[in-house]
Order: sequence, then structure tokens, then C-alpha cells
Amino acid sequence: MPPPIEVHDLTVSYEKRPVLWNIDVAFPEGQVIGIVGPNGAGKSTLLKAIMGLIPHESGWVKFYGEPLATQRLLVGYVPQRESVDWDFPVTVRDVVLMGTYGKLGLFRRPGRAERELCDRCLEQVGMQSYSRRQIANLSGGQRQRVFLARALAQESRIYFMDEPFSGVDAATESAIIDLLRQLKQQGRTVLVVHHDLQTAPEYFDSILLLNMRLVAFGPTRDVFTTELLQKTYGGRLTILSEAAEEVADTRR
Amino acid sequence: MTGLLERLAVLVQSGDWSEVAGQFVRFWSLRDPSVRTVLAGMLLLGLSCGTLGSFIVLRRLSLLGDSLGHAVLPGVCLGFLVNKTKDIRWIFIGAVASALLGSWLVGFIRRHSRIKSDAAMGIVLSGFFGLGTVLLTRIQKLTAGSQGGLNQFLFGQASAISDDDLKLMGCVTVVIVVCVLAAFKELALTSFDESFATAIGLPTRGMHYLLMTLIAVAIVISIQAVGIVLLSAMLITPASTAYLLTDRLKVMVGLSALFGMLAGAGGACLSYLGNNWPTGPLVVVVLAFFFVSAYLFSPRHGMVSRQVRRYRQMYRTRRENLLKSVYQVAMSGSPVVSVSQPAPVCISLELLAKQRGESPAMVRRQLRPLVGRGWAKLAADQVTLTETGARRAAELVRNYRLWEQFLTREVQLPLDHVDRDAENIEHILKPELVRELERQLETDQSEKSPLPFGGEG
Amino acid sequence: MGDFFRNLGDLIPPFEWRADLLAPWDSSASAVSSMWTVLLGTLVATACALIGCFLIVQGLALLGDAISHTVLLGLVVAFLLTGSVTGPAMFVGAAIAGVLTTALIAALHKTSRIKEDAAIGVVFTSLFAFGVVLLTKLAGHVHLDTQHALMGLFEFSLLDKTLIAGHEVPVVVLQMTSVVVVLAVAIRLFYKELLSAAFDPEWSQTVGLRPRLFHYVLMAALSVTVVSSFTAVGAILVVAMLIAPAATAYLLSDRLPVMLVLSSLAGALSSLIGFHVSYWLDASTGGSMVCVACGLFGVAFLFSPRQGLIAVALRRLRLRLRTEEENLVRALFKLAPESRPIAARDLATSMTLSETRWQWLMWRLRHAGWLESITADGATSTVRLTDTGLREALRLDRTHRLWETFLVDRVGIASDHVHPTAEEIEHLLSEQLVEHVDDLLGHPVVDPHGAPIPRSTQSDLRPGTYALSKLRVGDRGTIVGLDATQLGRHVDSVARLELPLGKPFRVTHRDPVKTSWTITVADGQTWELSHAQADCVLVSLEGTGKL
Repeated sequence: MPPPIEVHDLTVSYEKRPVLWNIDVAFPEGQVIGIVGPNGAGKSTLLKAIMGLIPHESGWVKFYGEPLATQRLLVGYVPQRESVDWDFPVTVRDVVLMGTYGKLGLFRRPGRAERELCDRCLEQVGMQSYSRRQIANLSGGQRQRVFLARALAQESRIYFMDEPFSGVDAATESAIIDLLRQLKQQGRTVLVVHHDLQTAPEYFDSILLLNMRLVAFGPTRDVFTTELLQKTYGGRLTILSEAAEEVADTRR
Repeated sequence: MTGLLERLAVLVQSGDWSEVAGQFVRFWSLRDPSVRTVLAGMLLLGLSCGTLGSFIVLRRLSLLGDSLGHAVLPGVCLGFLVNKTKDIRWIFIGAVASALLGSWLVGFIRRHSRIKSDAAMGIVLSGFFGLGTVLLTRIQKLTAGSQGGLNQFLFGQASAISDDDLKLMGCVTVVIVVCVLAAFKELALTSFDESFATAIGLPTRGMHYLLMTLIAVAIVISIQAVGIVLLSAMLITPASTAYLLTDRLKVMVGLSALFGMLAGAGGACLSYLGNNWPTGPLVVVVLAFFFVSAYLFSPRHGMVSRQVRRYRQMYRTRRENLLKSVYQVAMSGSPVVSVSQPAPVCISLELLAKQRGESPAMVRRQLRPLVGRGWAKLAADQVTLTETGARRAAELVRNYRLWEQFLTREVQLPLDHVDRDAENIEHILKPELVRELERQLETDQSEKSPLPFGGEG
Repeated sequence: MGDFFRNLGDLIPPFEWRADLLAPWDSSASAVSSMWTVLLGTLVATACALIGCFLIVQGLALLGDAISHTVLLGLVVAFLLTGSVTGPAMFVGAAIAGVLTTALIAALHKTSRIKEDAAIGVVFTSLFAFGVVLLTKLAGHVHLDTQHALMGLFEFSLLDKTLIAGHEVPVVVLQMTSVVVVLAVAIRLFYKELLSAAFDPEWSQTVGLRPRLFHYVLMAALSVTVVSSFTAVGAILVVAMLIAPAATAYLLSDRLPVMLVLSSLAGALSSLIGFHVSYWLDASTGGSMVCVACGLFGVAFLFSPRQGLIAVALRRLRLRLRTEEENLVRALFKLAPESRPIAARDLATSMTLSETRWQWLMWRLRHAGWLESITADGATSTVRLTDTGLREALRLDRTHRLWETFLVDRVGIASDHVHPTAEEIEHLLSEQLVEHVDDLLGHPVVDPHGAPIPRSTQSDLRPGTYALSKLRVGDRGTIVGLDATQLGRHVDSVARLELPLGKPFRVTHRDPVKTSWTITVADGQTWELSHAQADCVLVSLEGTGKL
């Protein structure tokens, strides 16, 4: 059986500047995987490139051996909270219900089954009592949980989460950890962009160290070593970003 | 089909060309005093709008100009009501007040509700304009005023600029230019980084309101000539054009004022040629022409220069690749040579062609740019690298190896990925970066396989 | 200046409800024409409102403005190609112009350093100017003029009629009806795509809902709506009908479907009222409609129940009054902790309030039952706190001191800076949060200034039982059980303590550094409990049984 996500030779540029160089990796099934690296290392970019949100210059990505176009329904996404306007006139339930839209197809509208699913997902993240609230009236952690519930409603086999732990309260943090554990028990694969080195080893089964290129990927205890972290966060790779600047200059 | 041609014919038919040429000469000879007034007026408002426009564009308030342009209409009507005549002073006061009220209202709505600034601007723009139309239709009924007056306000009529108007425009322009020059530093800083400006104690709020007032005033003097609907272009387009051409604020303000003036004069001239067509759209068409030209041909940011740069890079890559392969073919099997003293290099075209998988004629053609640069000499069936050529080739090979080493050792890319990246980037690496790479790899060099041509230079 | 007001007065004729409200509808001929006008206005407003909602929620209001102008160029090009500015040619031309405008703006700000707002400004003014110039050149050949396109001519647009089932129906009304129907059906069919594309386009793309396609579809729909409304109200007034009713609804509702309905209603209402206003003032119909639409927005802006200016002001006022009341209660408590009667004048001088405000404040407090007057003869009146008032004062004092402790201990603000901040916040904190802070701080006994912190009066789990952690040195009680909700992973450590269940004990020591409680029973045996353990142990108190 092919791996859930296989990335081959992926190079991505933002505004003509290469930000990811030749990423080659295959993620194993049923694990919670952290993507860790310094600011500007291209963590979110990697996630978005894998999901086809950013065009890549070279390489390909396969989900269970198939290209993304045929596998969209297998992929759930939890974007960063800042990516939407929280004044938008929708309730918590409306947002979670959106998670079911992908499966419905054109013209079909969510029915009873979908609404029940959405209630279950809300319960899973402990937000059932907020379901009729407008999203503007939620705290940061609650907003994060709404996004998680929406992703759960997608019922995907693979989940991508972009910095779910950043700036959330303790209750949300433990809710997310519980959720990650459950998803893992159900044999799903979860990729989490994470920036906090302290908590990384306790959250993740495997870790991908990233700084414009893949520094290391493997089980947490093998990868989370001083030497490799030094390499990820250390100065030797600045040449890559300098070279990226020059590439951008000539392409401009 | 014939219908289409007929309709297109209407577009291009333009009476008697000699007559148009005569009009053109008459306009620019400036013999007619009214032409002088019009031209002076257009230049003045081009200057004031262009100067202010830069700050508007930099502050991302472009569409506020549009809102304010529409928001003056009720003020104009109320100003008219004072004496029931087109008394320029009252109209001016009414319009400025109404524009300022509009700009304040946009901020007020945004601060006190969840309405975003775009919707707030839209509401103010259309609400004021709606009120203006009601007042206008009402006034027209009361005074049995002519319809022509209305169209003038919408699209402007430069030929209607009177001497009184000109005086007002002059005063206003002087005030605007003096204010901008006096507060240039503050305006620049508050436009660039508002929070920093507040932190060092600049009156950011005050600067905002100063700018708003100046804009309102500039808008009001432009109504007569450009009209309400297209006013914002007079503010935004010259500044955007200048923004494409320069990176320095002072130059940008100057260029923007220049474009404003040129477009003003051009629009007035076209309107004159077309027997008093509405001036506003013509000015904007001229401005759009400037903008498109800058977008295409700006030396740094233009589309064309970007394409040229890209092609140049492409040719350079091709050229250098060829140079490198000449060098590598010649060097294969020969001992390591230093960059500083390259040996003369000479190979047959046939060998080179075989190596590159191309025909000898093709290789010969490709070699010509190398000859042109003095890197190589072409004989009947062989090519010789000159000293400069050989040195350049040695450098290239060296850069390539350095980069390759860096990628495999430091970045630990698999070998099959390295080659493509190295190919691309060796032509781009700057000397400083090469030195940095050398330094980084220095330690490894002594231990493992030495770099070719390393160190001696 | 005097002239100005006289002239302004001339401008506004007297309003007579019979003439201005009923006259348009009294004879059958005028009623029919009024009906068509109002109907056309309503249809235009509804179509614009439906599209407008999607623009407002995405912050695209000004793109709407831009497109309402550039469709003019689309019309001119359509005329050049087909020789007509009505029917399908008009719709196709407009839709192409709208999509082109959107694409040009996006291309401009993506491929150059021009920012989006400037890109919108440059593109729409240029395209519109180009359209106007072409139109001027074509004057006399095409049935459309620029002023008409901008301001609209309501009455004229209704003149062109056709026969349907024996009735004369204006063509433009039919056209608008079909636009509204198509829009409503399309929104219903593609609701989920439109909603998710508007809310979170990036996410929608990962799900395969094609947000970019629907964005352009929306822009094409916008152009079609604009161009068909064009003839009636004109470009600039179309902008108003796009934005104002939708913004009104945005202030009044929390869900998109509700917003769609409300905005259509607001649009219809503006059409009806606007018609009468224009009849009354004898002014432009479109302009009046727009004024009314913006007026409705103003009403919503002021009176929206949750977000309106007035609602917000009221909320603020209520908070200020409460702050005032609570401050007085605390002041009273400080002066006389045992709620002995004190002279009202002493208080009044410490509060710096005017006489009337003071009287009002006293009245409010008495009304709330927090205060009672002992002697009420003017200057020498004395007052004291009631039991409810005392409880309230203790709660406030506790909140205040806990918050101060929190700021000093956890946030690290110097203790002499703390007071003003604590003062503001104590009125806002919920009881739940205060208890959370108390627990976080290890149930402190004194605040950073050394003053005692009143204790919480809340029981735990059952009435009359308290967590041991709430007890202080000297308290006597009996352990009655364990709190299962707190026990969790401390179950073993609590069991290992072998606590003296049912025996009376006394709290003999509290260690503020370790945050531990030491209890001693009658025979001198002692136990030391950690914070977590003390939270689990439920006790009932000796004496009154209350803290």
C-alpha cells in the first residue's frame, strides 16, 4: 500500500524567491507528525504546497499513490485562525457544516445526517453549547476548536493543521491533544505545523525538521537531537536564503 | 458585419484633418486668452492633484479620493443655494465642508461598527451622491437651470474655467505645494510607518486631517475641469505611474506632479480639438496611456524590462553553459589548472558537437556570441578559448563545484537533485556568495576530495 | 447667509400626507404608473441587495463600485459588435466587462508593485473614461448617453412596454424580474459554494469547491445585475443599492441567509419610501431611493440592538453606573467594616459627586437593597450597609485584592502601580474567573499590601461543604468526604494520607511557599496536605457551618 502522502522533489517559490528546496519525503500512515522549524522556514508553505494551494516549480505530491485531484476528499485542513474574517455572519454550526460540503457535490444541500455529524464534531471539541453563536463572539481558543470541528466533519483520512497550538488557552490545548490522540487511534495521519520546541517531543510521533529544505525526518527520538536542531536553527543554511534572494533578483 | 464596419467608421471618422491640425496649432500657440486660462488651470490642478496623489497611494487611501470626489456634490448644491448663483467662493466652501464631513464619516462608521472601511467608503460615496442628485434635480426645477450644468459637474468642462476660477486654483495650488513642502518629512514618515511616527511624537492624527483637507481642497478645484466621476483618477493614476518608475519618495512626488500636469494639458487640448468634449474622460485617457506605458516600459518595474532581464539571463546561461562545455571537453583528462593561470584551450568543433549531441553547424552558430565577447576564437574546424574566456570558464566550473559541494554536504540533497540546481544557480551566484561558500567549505576541503582549482587564486 | 436658509426652505416643500402619500395611488392611471415605479425600484434593490451581501461580507464593496462603472465600456463594445444595447448583447457585454475588470485588477496588483486599492482606482477610471469617450464619439448613433448611464432616468426607462396577457408591462420590469429570479435560484443552488468561497476561499480550494470559479461567477452576476439596473437608477446609484441595504442587514443579523432576506427587505422599503420622497420633493426617483437606503443604514447604525451606537452607549453607561455603585459600597465597607451606621456626608465628600448625582446614587443603592438609612434628616443623615450590601462589598473587596495579588505575583507589575488597574477590572470579572484566579494563586490570605483578602462564600459540591483549601488557620471542621470531580489523578496520593474521616480537626498551619495546609485532630496527630490534595477534601464547618 502506498504511503498516505508522498512528496517528491518539491521546490516552491514565493514571489520568485525559492522558499522550499527539493523536499523529498514520504509520511507513514497513522501517525501524528510535527513540522518544526524556525520562522520563515517554509513550514506553512510546505503544507499549502502539498495541498496544491501554492503552485510548485518542480516535483509532485501523491496521496495514497494518486494525485491530489482525485483524492481531495481524503484531505482535511485546519488553516491558521487569522486566515478568515471572524466578523463574517455565520454561526459556529454553519462553519462546521461547511466541513460536509466537499462530500455533497453540486446542488445537494446538507441534510439531517450532515447536521448530526456536525453536532457530534462540535461535541468532540467541547463546543456543543456554542453551536448557535456567531463566530465573532468566540475567544481565540474557541475559534481554533471551531476550525478543528470543521475539519473533523470532513471525515478525512489525512489532516493538515497549521499552527493549531499558537495562542490558545489551556482548555483548547488539551482538547487538541485529545483530538490528536483520537485521530491517531483511528489510524488517520495528521500533519501539524508547530513552532514550539518545548512541547514538540510530547505531541508528535514523528518530526520533520524544516528550514527551507528538509533537515531530517523520522521518529521523534531519532530526530529531536541537539545536533539536528542545531542544524535546523543554526546559521549554516543562511546561504540558501541568500541564494534565494539572488534568484529572485534575476527573475524579477 | 457591415453594421460593425459602419459603427467602427463612426468612431474613426474625424472630420477634416487639416481643420484638426489648425485647431491644434491654435491651441498651442496660446494666442487665444481663453486657451491660456484653460491651460494654466489644467496645469495648476495637475500639479496639486499629482503632488497629493503620491501620499494617497502610499497610504493606501486610493479609494477615499473617489469617495470624497462624490461626496462634494451636496456641498456644491448647498453652496449654490446661498445666492442662487454659481458663486465660486460659496461653492468652494460648501464642497470642502461636505468632503471633510464625508471623510470624517467614513472613519466614524468604521470605528463604531463592524462595517469595514470599503463598505463605509461605498456608503458615504453613494449616499452623498444620492443626496446631491436629489438636491440638484430640485434646484434645477426651482431655478429652471439648464441641464448642461449637470453634465459639467459629472465629467468636467475645462473650457468653462474662468479667470476667477483660475485665481482660486492658483491660491489653492500655492497652499497645497507650500504645505506639502513644509510638512514633507512628517507626511513621508506618517505615510510610511504610522505607529513609529506616533511613537516618536509626530502628530499622526493631525497629519491625516491636514492631508484630508488638502485633498478635499484639491478635489474641489478639479471638479470644474475633470468632473466628479473621474476625479479620483487625477489623484491616483499619476502617482501610481510615478510609483512604477521610482523608489524614492521625492522623485515620486515630482514625477507624479509632472504626469498630472501633462495629462491636464493633454486632456484640455483633446477637448479643444473635439469641440469641447467633456474634459474629464480625456484627461483620464491620457493618464491611462502614461500608466500603461510605465507598466510596460518602466526600467526597473516594467513588464518589458522584466522580460528582457529574463531573456538576458537565459542567454547568459546558455552562453556560459557552452563555454563550460568547451572548457570541460578540452580539460577532460588534463591536470587540474588554477584559475589564475589557465592553459590555452583548443578543441575541434566535431568533438564538441558530439559531446553536446548537436550538429557542428549548430554548435558553430551558438559559438558566435562567445567570439563576440572575446572569449573564444573560431577557426575552420576548431575553437580556441582566449585567456579571458578560459579564466571565465574556470570560474564557472569552480562555482558549479562549490555549489554542488554545498548542496550535497551541507544541505544533504540527494545527488540526482543537485545537478539541476547547480546548473541553474551557478550563473547567478555573486562573488560575495562564492567567497562565503568557500569559507564554509574550507575545512572540508583539506580532508576530503579537493575542489578543482581551489585556493590558489 | 440669511438667503441661504430661505433658499433651503424653498427647496423643501411642505409635507402633506394626503397629497404626498395617497395622491400617487388614487386614480387608476396614476396608481398603475406608481406601481410600476415602485416595483421596478424594488426589483432593482432586491437584485442589488442579494449580490451586495456577498460583496460586503468579503470586503469587496469597492470592486462593486468599480464594476458598476466599467460595464459602460462593456455596453459600448457590445453596441459596436452587435449594434444594440439591449437584450442578450447588453448582458454578455456587461458580464465580459465585469470579469475583465476583476481580472485586470488582480493581474495589475499581482504582477506589479501597485497595491490593490490603487489598482482598482486606476483600472476602473481608465476603462470608464474610455467608455465615455467612445460614447461621446458615438453620440447620436446609440440610444444611451453618459448622464443617463450615471444618474439613471427612472420614468423614461418605464416607457418601453410590451403586452402580456392583455396587460401592458414595461420591458425593463420583465427584465429585472428575470434577473432577480435567476439570482435567487442561483444563490439557492450554489449557496454552499458561494458561502464557503466567501468565508474561507483557501480552505474551500482544498475541499474542491472551486472558490476562484465562483468568485468570477459572482462578478459576472454582479455585472449583469448592474447593467440591468443601470437604465433605472444609473451607475453611481447602483453602487448605493449594492452597498447600503446589504450593510444595513450586516449590522442587524448574524447569519448570511437572514442577511440576504433583511437586505432585500431594506431594499424594497427604500424603493417604496424613496418613491414617496421623490413625489413629495419632486426630485430624482433614483436619488431619493438612495437617500432612503442610506437613511435606513443610519437607523441601523444607531439602533441595531447589539451593535448600534445607542446600544453600545447604553451598555457603557450601565457599566459606569454599576462601577459607581460598587465603588460606593466598597468605600462604605472600608469606613465601617461591621456595617455600623456612618454619616452620609463623610461618604459624599470622599466621592466628589454633585448633590443630585449623590442623591440619585443613594436612591439606586437603597433601591437595590444594599443600603439602608438609619436617620434621614438631611445633612445629619446616617446610612449603613444591609446584609446583601455587605455580601456584595465582601465580594468586591475579594475580587479587587485577588486581582491585585495576581498582577503582582504572576504578571510582575510593581505593587504600587497596581491599584488603578485592579480598580477598573474588578467590576468586569465574572465570579467563575475570580475563583479560578484564587485557585491559581493557592488561595492567598493577604494581598501584596498586607491587607486580608475576604474569603469566598461559595460552597463546593453540596451546600454547607467546602474544599479544605478554602480554610484558613484557626478554622475548625470535620472531613465529610472527597470531591470526585477534583480527584482525578490525585486519587492515590489522597488515599495514602489516611485522613481522619469524621473526626473534628483544626487548621493549625498554612505554608504560603509550599502552599500546604496542616490540620491537627484532638489527640495531636497532624496531616499536611498539598494544594491539589486540599482541593479534593470536602469538610463541613463547626459553628454556623458557613465561611
